[in-house]
Amino acid sequence: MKWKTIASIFIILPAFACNLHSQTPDEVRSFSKLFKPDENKPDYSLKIDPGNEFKLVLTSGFAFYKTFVSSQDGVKCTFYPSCSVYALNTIKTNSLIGVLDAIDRLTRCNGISPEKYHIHEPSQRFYDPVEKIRH
Amino acid sequence: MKQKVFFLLVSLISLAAYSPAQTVGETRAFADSLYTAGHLNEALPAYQRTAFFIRPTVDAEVLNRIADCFYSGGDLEKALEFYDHSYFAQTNDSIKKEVLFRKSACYLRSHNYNFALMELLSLEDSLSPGLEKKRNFYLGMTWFGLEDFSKAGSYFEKAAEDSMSQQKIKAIFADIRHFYLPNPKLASWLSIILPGAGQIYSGEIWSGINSLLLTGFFVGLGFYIVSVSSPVDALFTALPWFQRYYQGGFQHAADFAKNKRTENRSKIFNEVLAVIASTK
Repeated sequence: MKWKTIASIFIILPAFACNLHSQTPDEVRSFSKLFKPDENKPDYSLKIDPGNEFKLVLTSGFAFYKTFVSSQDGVKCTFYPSCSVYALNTIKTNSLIGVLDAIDRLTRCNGISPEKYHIHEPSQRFYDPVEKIRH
Repeated sequence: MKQKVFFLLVSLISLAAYSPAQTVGETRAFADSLYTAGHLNEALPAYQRTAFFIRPTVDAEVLNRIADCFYSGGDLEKALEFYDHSYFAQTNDSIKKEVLFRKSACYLRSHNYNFALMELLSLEDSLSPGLEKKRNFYLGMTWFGLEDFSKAGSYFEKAAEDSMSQQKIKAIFADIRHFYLPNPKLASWLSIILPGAGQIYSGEIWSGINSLLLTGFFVGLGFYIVSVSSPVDALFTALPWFQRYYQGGFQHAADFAKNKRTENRSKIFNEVLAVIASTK
Protein backbone atom coordinates (compact mmCIF):
# COMPACT_ATOMS: atom_id res chain seq x y z
CA MET A 1 0.00 0.00 0.00
CA LYS A 2 2.74 2.35 1.03
CA TRP A 3 4.81 1.96 -2.15
CA LYS A 4 1.69 2.48 -4.28
CA THR A 5 0.98 5.82 -2.55
CA ILE A 6 4.60 6.93 -2.90
CA ALA A 7 4.66 5.88 -6.56
CA SER A 8 1.46 7.81 -7.35
CA ILE A 9 2.81 10.90 -5.59
CA PHE A 10 5.99 10.68 -7.66
CA ILE A 11 3.97 10.34 -10.87
CA ILE A 12 1.43 13.08 -10.10
CA LEU A 13 3.79 15.72 -8.70
CA PRO A 14 6.13 16.12 -11.70
CA ALA A 15 3.14 16.20 -14.04
CA PHE A 16 1.59 18.96 -11.92
CA ALA A 17 4.88 20.82 -11.67
CA CYS A 18 5.25 20.82 -15.46
CA ASN A 19 2.17 22.97 -15.88
CA LEU A 20 2.76 25.13 -12.84
CA HIS A 21 3.55 28.70 -13.87
CA SER A 22 4.05 27.66 -17.49
CA GLN A 23 2.78 30.20 -20.05
CA THR A 24 -0.94 29.84 -20.78
CA PRO A 25 -2.34 29.78 -24.37
CA ASP A 26 -3.88 33.22 -23.78
CA GLU A 27 -0.52 34.57 -22.63
CA VAL A 28 1.14 33.09 -25.73
CA ARG A 29 -1.52 34.58 -28.04
CA SER A 30 -1.27 37.98 -26.33
CA PHE A 31 2.10 38.42 -28.08
CA SER A 32 0.61 37.94 -31.56
CA LYS A 33 1.09 41.62 -32.50
CA LEU A 34 4.65 41.84 -31.17
CA PHE A 35 6.35 41.87 -34.58
CA LYS A 36 3.51 43.36 -36.61
CA PRO A 37 4.66 46.04 -39.09
CA ASP A 38 3.88 49.67 -38.45
CA GLU A 39 0.33 50.54 -39.55
CA ASN A 40 1.15 54.23 -40.11
CA LYS A 41 1.45 53.97 -43.87
CA PRO A 42 0.77 57.21 -45.71
CA ASP A 43 -2.62 57.18 -47.38
CA TYR A 44 -2.29 58.48 -50.93
CA SER A 45 -5.88 57.81 -51.91
CA LEU A 46 -7.87 60.99 -51.56
CA LYS A 47 -11.57 61.33 -52.14
CA ILE A 48 -12.69 63.38 -55.10
CA ASP A 49 -15.28 65.96 -54.08
CA PRO A 50 -17.95 66.42 -56.79
CA GLY A 51 -19.60 69.30 -54.82
CA ASN A 52 -19.20 71.78 -57.71
CA GLU A 53 -17.08 72.04 -60.87
CA PHE A 54 -14.34 74.05 -59.17
CA LYS A 55 -13.95 71.55 -56.33
CA LEU A 56 -14.22 68.60 -58.75
CA VAL A 57 -11.36 69.84 -60.95
CA LEU A 58 -9.12 70.75 -58.01
CA THR A 59 -9.72 67.62 -55.95
CA SER A 60 -9.30 65.37 -59.02
CA GLY A 61 -6.02 67.11 -59.82
CA PHE A 62 -4.79 66.67 -56.28
CA ALA A 63 -5.95 63.06 -56.14
CA PHE A 64 -4.01 62.35 -59.35
CA TYR A 65 -0.94 64.13 -57.98
CA LYS A 66 -1.10 62.26 -54.64
CA THR A 67 -1.68 58.86 -56.24
CA PHE A 68 0.79 58.91 -59.11
CA VAL A 69 3.38 61.61 -58.38
CA SER A 70 3.62 62.37 -54.66
CA SER A 71 3.59 58.66 -53.78
CA GLN A 72 6.92 58.31 -55.62
CA ASP A 73 8.56 61.20 -53.82
CA GLY A 74 10.65 60.90 -50.67
CA VAL A 75 9.66 62.81 -47.50
CA LYS A 76 10.32 66.36 -48.64
CA CYS A 77 7.57 68.46 -47.02
CA THR A 78 8.40 69.89 -43.59
CA PHE A 79 4.77 69.91 -42.45
CA TYR A 80 2.14 67.48 -41.30
CA PRO A 81 -0.29 67.30 -43.10
CA SER A 82 1.80 67.76 -46.24
CA CYS A 83 1.27 70.82 -48.43
CA SER A 84 -0.83 68.98 -51.03
CA VAL A 85 -3.15 67.49 -48.40
CA TYR A 86 -3.31 70.88 -46.69
CA ALA A 87 -4.17 72.59 -49.98
CA LEU A 88 -6.89 70.09 -50.72
CA ASN A 89 -8.43 70.43 -47.28
CA THR A 90 -8.19 74.21 -47.11
CA ILE A 91 -9.90 74.54 -50.51
CA LYS A 92 -12.63 72.21 -49.24
CA THR A 93 -12.99 74.26 -46.04
CA ASN A 94 -12.38 77.82 -47.24
CA SER A 95 -13.23 77.64 -50.98
CA LEU A 96 -11.48 80.42 -52.99
CA ILE A 97 -9.72 81.90 -49.94
CA GLY A 98 -8.35 78.37 -49.50
CA VAL A 99 -6.36 78.78 -52.74
CA LEU A 100 -4.56 81.79 -51.19
CA ASP A 101 -4.11 79.84 -47.96
CA ALA A 102 -2.54 76.97 -49.92
CA ILE A 103 -0.12 79.39 -51.64
CA ASP A 104 0.73 80.86 -48.24
CA ARG A 105 1.46 77.35 -46.95
CA LEU A 106 3.79 76.64 -49.87
CA THR A 107 5.76 79.79 -49.10
CA ARG A 108 6.14 78.64 -45.49
CA CYS A 109 7.33 75.14 -46.44
CA ASN A 110 11.03 75.71 -45.77
CA GLY A 111 11.70 74.81 -42.13
CA ILE A 112 13.29 78.15 -41.22
CA SER A 113 10.79 79.03 -38.47
CA PRO A 114 10.65 75.92 -36.27
CA GLU A 115 9.71 77.96 -33.18
CA LYS A 116 6.28 78.69 -34.64
CA TYR A 117 5.09 75.08 -34.80
CA HIS A 118 4.59 72.08 -32.56
CA ILE A 119 6.11 68.78 -33.62
CA HIS A 120 3.72 66.08 -34.84
CA GLU A 121 5.17 63.09 -32.95
CA PRO A 122 4.38 60.14 -35.29
CA SER A 123 5.76 61.88 -38.39
CA GLN A 124 8.33 64.10 -36.60
CA ARG A 125 7.29 67.06 -38.77
CA PHE A 126 5.86 70.50 -38.00
CA TYR A 127 2.19 70.31 -37.18
CA ASP A 128 0.12 72.80 -39.15
CA PRO A 129 -3.52 71.72 -39.55
CA VAL A 130 -6.15 73.45 -41.67
CA GLU A 131 -8.24 76.04 -39.85
CA LYS A 132 -11.41 77.81 -40.87
CA ILE A 133 -10.42 81.29 -42.01
CA ARG A 134 -12.63 84.08 -40.65
CA HIS A 135 -13.01 87.01 -42.99
CA MET B 1 -36.41 81.58 13.10
CA LYS B 2 -32.76 82.60 13.52
CA GLN B 3 -32.38 79.94 16.17
CA LYS B 4 -33.73 77.30 13.77
CA VAL B 5 -31.27 78.29 11.02
CA PHE B 6 -28.41 78.33 13.51
CA PHE B 7 -29.41 74.89 14.82
CA LEU B 8 -29.68 73.50 11.29
CA LEU B 9 -26.25 74.84 10.31
CA VAL B 10 -24.54 73.49 13.43
CA SER B 11 -26.10 70.05 13.02
CA LEU B 12 -25.22 69.91 9.30
CA ILE B 13 -21.60 70.89 9.90
CA SER B 14 -21.18 68.43 12.74
CA LEU B 15 -22.82 65.69 10.68
CA ALA B 16 -20.52 66.38 7.74
CA ALA B 17 -17.46 66.39 10.00
CA TYR B 18 -18.27 63.01 11.51
CA SER B 19 -19.89 61.24 8.58
CA PRO B 20 -17.39 58.56 7.55
CA ALA B 21 -16.02 58.36 3.99
CA GLN B 22 -14.93 54.96 2.69
CA THR B 23 -11.98 53.47 4.54
CA VAL B 24 -8.75 52.32 2.92
CA GLY B 25 -9.91 48.73 3.38
CA GLU B 26 -13.16 49.43 1.54
CA THR B 27 -11.32 51.18 -1.30
CA ARG B 28 -8.95 48.22 -1.56
CA ALA B 29 -11.87 45.76 -1.59
CA PHE B 30 -13.57 47.82 -4.31
CA ALA B 31 -10.34 47.88 -6.37
CA ASP B 32 -9.92 44.13 -5.90
CA SER B 33 -13.47 43.45 -7.08
CA LEU B 34 -12.89 45.57 -10.23
CA TYR B 35 -9.53 43.87 -10.84
CA THR B 36 -11.03 40.40 -10.48
CA ALA B 37 -13.87 41.31 -12.84
CA GLY B 38 -11.26 42.35 -15.43
CA HIS B 39 -12.02 46.10 -15.30
CA LEU B 40 -8.38 47.06 -14.91
CA ASN B 41 -8.74 50.62 -16.18
CA GLU B 42 -11.38 51.34 -13.53
CA ALA B 43 -9.42 49.49 -10.83
CA LEU B 44 -6.32 51.65 -11.37
CA PRO B 45 -7.53 54.87 -9.65
CA ALA B 46 -8.89 52.85 -6.71
CA TYR B 47 -5.52 51.10 -6.25
CA GLN B 48 -3.68 54.40 -6.60
CA ARG B 49 -5.95 55.87 -3.91
CA THR B 50 -5.23 52.88 -1.67
CA ALA B 51 -1.50 53.22 -2.24
CA PHE B 52 -1.68 56.95 -1.47
CA PHE B 53 -3.35 56.42 1.91
CA ILE B 54 -1.17 53.52 3.07
CA ARG B 55 2.16 54.94 1.93
CA PRO B 56 5.06 54.55 2.71
CA THR B 57 4.28 50.91 3.51
CA VAL B 58 2.48 49.97 0.29
CA ASP B 59 2.39 46.18 0.02
CA ALA B 60 3.84 44.39 -2.99
CA GLU B 61 0.46 43.08 -4.14
CA VAL B 62 -1.00 46.58 -4.54
CA LEU B 63 2.11 47.68 -6.45
CA ASN B 64 1.89 44.60 -8.62
CA ARG B 65 -1.75 45.22 -9.42
CA ILE B 66 -1.13 48.89 -10.21
CA ALA B 67 1.59 47.71 -12.61
CA ASP B 68 -0.83 45.17 -14.14
CA CYS B 69 -3.39 47.94 -14.69
CA PHE B 70 -0.80 50.14 -16.43
CA TYR B 71 0.37 47.14 -18.48
CA SER B 72 -3.13 46.34 -19.65
CA GLY B 73 -3.73 50.01 -20.50
CA GLY B 74 -0.56 50.04 -22.62
CA ASP B 75 1.42 52.45 -20.41
CA LEU B 76 4.53 50.27 -20.38
CA GLU B 77 6.85 52.83 -18.84
CA LYS B 78 4.63 53.23 -15.76
CA ALA B 79 4.06 49.47 -15.63
CA LEU B 80 7.82 48.91 -15.53
CA GLU B 81 8.21 51.46 -12.76
CA PHE B 82 5.61 49.72 -10.59
CA TYR B 83 6.86 46.20 -11.37
CA ASP B 84 10.26 47.40 -10.19
CA HIS B 85 8.76 48.68 -6.89
CA SER B 86 6.78 45.48 -6.54
CA TYR B 87 9.87 43.32 -7.15
CA PHE B 88 11.80 44.98 -4.33
CA ALA B 89 8.81 44.98 -1.94
CA GLN B 90 8.07 41.30 -2.64
CA THR B 91 9.24 38.62 -0.23
CA ASN B 92 7.82 35.59 -2.05
CA ASP B 93 10.43 34.18 -4.45
CA SER B 94 8.03 32.61 -6.95
CA ILE B 95 6.06 35.89 -7.25
CA LYS B 96 9.37 37.73 -7.73
CA LYS B 97 10.09 35.47 -10.71
CA GLU B 98 6.62 36.18 -12.12
CA VAL B 99 7.31 39.93 -11.77
CA LEU B 100 10.56 39.48 -13.71
CA PHE B 101 8.61 37.83 -16.51
CA ARG B 102 6.15 40.73 -16.54
CA LYS B 103 9.04 43.18 -16.72
CA SER B 104 10.51 41.31 -19.67
CA ALA B 105 7.08 41.34 -21.34
CA CYS B 106 7.04 45.13 -20.95
CA TYR B 107 10.49 45.40 -22.53
CA LEU B 108 9.50 43.05 -25.34
CA ARG B 109 6.37 45.04 -26.12
CA SER B 110 8.38 48.27 -26.19
CA HIS B 111 10.95 46.53 -28.45
CA ASN B 112 13.78 46.90 -25.92
CA TYR B 113 14.99 43.36 -26.51
CA ASN B 114 18.38 43.78 -24.81
CA PHE B 115 16.70 44.88 -21.57
CA ALA B 116 14.29 41.94 -21.82
CA LEU B 117 17.29 39.65 -22.21
CA MET B 118 18.92 41.14 -19.11
CA GLU B 119 15.78 40.48 -17.05
CA LEU B 120 15.49 36.91 -18.30
CA LEU B 121 19.16 36.17 -17.65
CA SER B 122 18.80 37.48 -14.11
CA LEU B 123 16.48 34.55 -13.34
CA GLU B 124 18.21 31.74 -11.49
CA ASP B 125 19.50 28.80 -13.58
CA SER B 126 17.50 26.03 -11.94
CA LEU B 127 13.81 26.70 -12.42
CA SER B 128 10.81 24.40 -12.18
CA PRO B 129 9.99 22.73 -15.54
CA GLY B 130 6.99 25.03 -16.07
CA LEU B 131 8.99 28.19 -15.43
CA GLU B 132 11.84 26.84 -17.53
CA LYS B 133 9.47 26.48 -20.50
CA LYS B 134 8.18 29.99 -19.92
CA ARG B 135 11.73 31.37 -19.82
CA ASN B 136 12.53 29.54 -23.07
CA PHE B 137 9.42 31.03 -24.68
CA TYR B 138 10.39 34.55 -23.59
CA LEU B 139 14.01 34.01 -24.65
CA GLY B 140 12.74 32.79 -28.02
CA MET B 141 10.79 36.04 -28.49
CA THR B 142 13.77 38.10 -27.34
CA TRP B 143 16.21 36.48 -29.79
CA PHE B 144 13.57 36.75 -32.52
CA GLY B 145 13.42 40.50 -31.84
CA LEU B 146 17.23 40.66 -31.86
CA GLU B 147 17.13 38.92 -35.27
CA ASP B 148 19.13 35.88 -34.14
CA PHE B 149 16.68 33.40 -35.62
CA SER B 150 18.66 30.21 -35.06
CA LYS B 151 18.82 30.95 -31.31
CA ALA B 152 15.14 31.96 -31.32
CA GLY B 153 14.25 28.65 -33.00
CA SER B 154 16.11 26.56 -30.47
CA TYR B 155 14.45 28.36 -27.53
CA PHE B 156 10.98 28.09 -29.09
CA GLU B 157 11.66 24.39 -29.62
CA LYS B 158 12.48 23.99 -25.93
CA ALA B 159 9.32 25.94 -25.01
CA ALA B 160 7.05 23.54 -26.93
CA GLU B 161 5.39 20.86 -24.84
CA ASP B 162 5.52 17.74 -27.03
CA SER B 163 7.84 16.28 -29.63
CA MET B 164 5.38 16.84 -32.48
CA SER B 165 5.26 20.60 -31.81
CA GLN B 166 9.01 20.63 -31.45
CA GLN B 167 9.29 19.04 -34.90
CA LYS B 168 6.94 21.68 -36.34
CA ILE B 169 9.00 24.50 -34.86
CA LYS B 170 12.20 22.87 -36.08
CA ALA B 171 10.72 22.75 -39.60
CA ILE B 172 9.79 26.46 -39.42
CA PHE B 173 13.33 27.44 -38.43
CA ALA B 174 15.08 24.87 -40.68
CA ASP B 175 15.95 27.46 -43.30
CA ILE B 176 16.43 30.88 -41.75
CA ARG B 177 17.31 32.57 -45.04
CA HIS B 178 13.66 33.43 -45.70
CA PHE B 179 13.62 35.53 -42.51
CA TYR B 180 15.86 38.02 -44.31
CA LEU B 181 13.74 38.30 -47.47
CA PRO B 182 13.02 40.57 -49.25
CA ASN B 183 16.36 42.26 -48.77
CA PRO B 184 15.99 46.10 -48.47
CA LYS B 185 19.52 46.73 -49.75
CA LEU B 186 18.94 44.56 -52.79
CA ALA B 187 15.58 46.31 -53.41
CA SER B 188 17.29 49.67 -53.20
CA TRP B 189 20.07 48.63 -55.62
CA LEU B 190 17.56 47.16 -58.05
CA SER B 191 15.74 50.50 -58.15
CA ILE B 192 19.03 52.35 -58.59
CA ILE B 193 19.81 50.18 -61.63
CA LEU B 194 16.27 50.18 -63.05
CA PRO B 195 13.68 52.51 -61.46
CA GLY B 196 10.71 50.48 -60.18
CA ALA B 197 12.52 47.12 -60.15
CA GLY B 198 13.06 47.24 -56.37
CA GLN B 199 9.38 47.95 -55.74
CA ILE B 200 8.37 45.04 -57.99
CA TYR B 201 10.88 42.79 -56.17
CA SER B 202 9.26 43.85 -52.85
CA GLY B 203 5.80 42.94 -54.15
CA GLU B 204 4.58 46.48 -54.87
CA ILE B 205 4.00 45.98 -58.59
CA TRP B 206 1.84 49.06 -59.28
CA SER B 207 4.20 51.33 -57.42
CA GLY B 208 7.09 49.87 -59.44
CA ILE B 209 5.33 50.52 -62.75
CA ASN B 210 4.40 54.02 -61.55
CA SER B 211 8.03 54.76 -60.65
CA LEU B 212 9.29 53.46 -64.00
CA LEU B 213 6.80 55.59 -65.95
CA LEU B 214 7.43 58.74 -63.90
CA THR B 215 11.22 58.61 -64.08
CA GLY B 216 10.97 57.50 -67.73
CA PHE B 217 8.87 60.58 -68.44
CA PHE B 218 11.52 62.91 -66.99
CA VAL B 219 14.29 61.09 -68.90
CA GLY B 220 12.23 61.55 -72.09
CA LEU B 221 11.63 65.18 -71.22
CA GLY B 222 15.37 65.67 -70.70
CA PHE B 223 16.20 64.22 -74.12
CA TYR B 224 13.48 66.31 -75.73
CA ILE B 225 14.88 69.51 -74.17
CA VAL B 226 18.38 68.53 -75.32
CA SER B 227 17.08 68.06 -78.86
CA VAL B 228 15.08 71.29 -79.06
CA SER B 229 17.28 73.47 -76.85
CA SER B 230 20.56 72.57 -75.12
CA PRO B 231 21.95 70.07 -72.56
CA VAL B 232 22.35 72.96 -70.09
CA ASP B 233 18.62 73.65 -70.28
CA ALA B 234 17.90 69.97 -69.67
CA LEU B 235 20.28 70.02 -66.71
CA PHE B 236 18.34 72.86 -65.07
CA THR B 237 14.81 71.79 -65.97
CA ALA B 238 14.34 68.02 -66.24
CA LEU B 239 17.24 66.74 -64.11
CA PRO B 240 16.05 68.09 -60.70
CA TRP B 241 12.63 66.46 -61.23
CA PHE B 242 14.20 63.24 -62.40
CA GLN B 243 16.58 63.20 -59.40
CA ARG B 244 13.67 63.79 -57.00
CA TYR B 245 11.57 60.84 -58.15
CA TYR B 246 14.53 58.57 -58.90
CA GLN B 247 15.84 59.06 -55.34
CA GLY B 248 12.31 58.75 -53.88
CA GLY B 249 11.91 55.52 -55.86
CA PHE B 250 14.88 53.69 -54.41
CA GLN B 251 14.13 54.98 -50.90
CA HIS B 252 10.58 53.65 -51.25
CA ALA B 253 11.86 50.33 -52.59
CA ALA B 254 13.95 49.83 -49.43
CA ASP B 255 11.00 50.85 -47.21
CA PHE B 256 8.64 48.46 -49.02
CA ALA B 257 11.15 45.63 -48.64
CA LYS B 258 11.60 46.34 -44.92
CA ASN B 259 7.84 46.40 -44.44
CA LYS B 260 7.34 43.18 -46.40
CA ARG B 261 10.13 41.48 -44.45
CA THR B 262 8.55 42.55 -41.14
CA GLU B 263 5.20 41.22 -42.40
CA ASN B 264 6.79 37.87 -43.29
CA ARG B 265 8.49 37.63 -39.93
CA SER B 266 5.27 38.49 -38.15
CA LYS B 267 3.48 35.68 -40.05
CA ILE B 268 6.18 33.16 -39.12
CA PHE B 269 6.13 34.32 -35.51
CA ASN B 270 2.37 33.85 -35.37
CA GLU B 271 2.78 30.32 -36.77
CA VAL B 272 5.19 29.58 -33.92
CA LEU B 273 2.77 31.05 -31.39
CA ALA B 274 -0.06 28.91 -32.79
CA VAL B 275 2.08 25.78 -32.41
CA ILE B 276 3.07 26.62 -28.85
CA ALA B 277 -0.46 27.66 -27.83
CA SER B 278 -2.01 24.52 -29.33
CA THR B 279 0.06 22.25 -27.10
CA LYS B 280 -1.16 23.88 -23.89
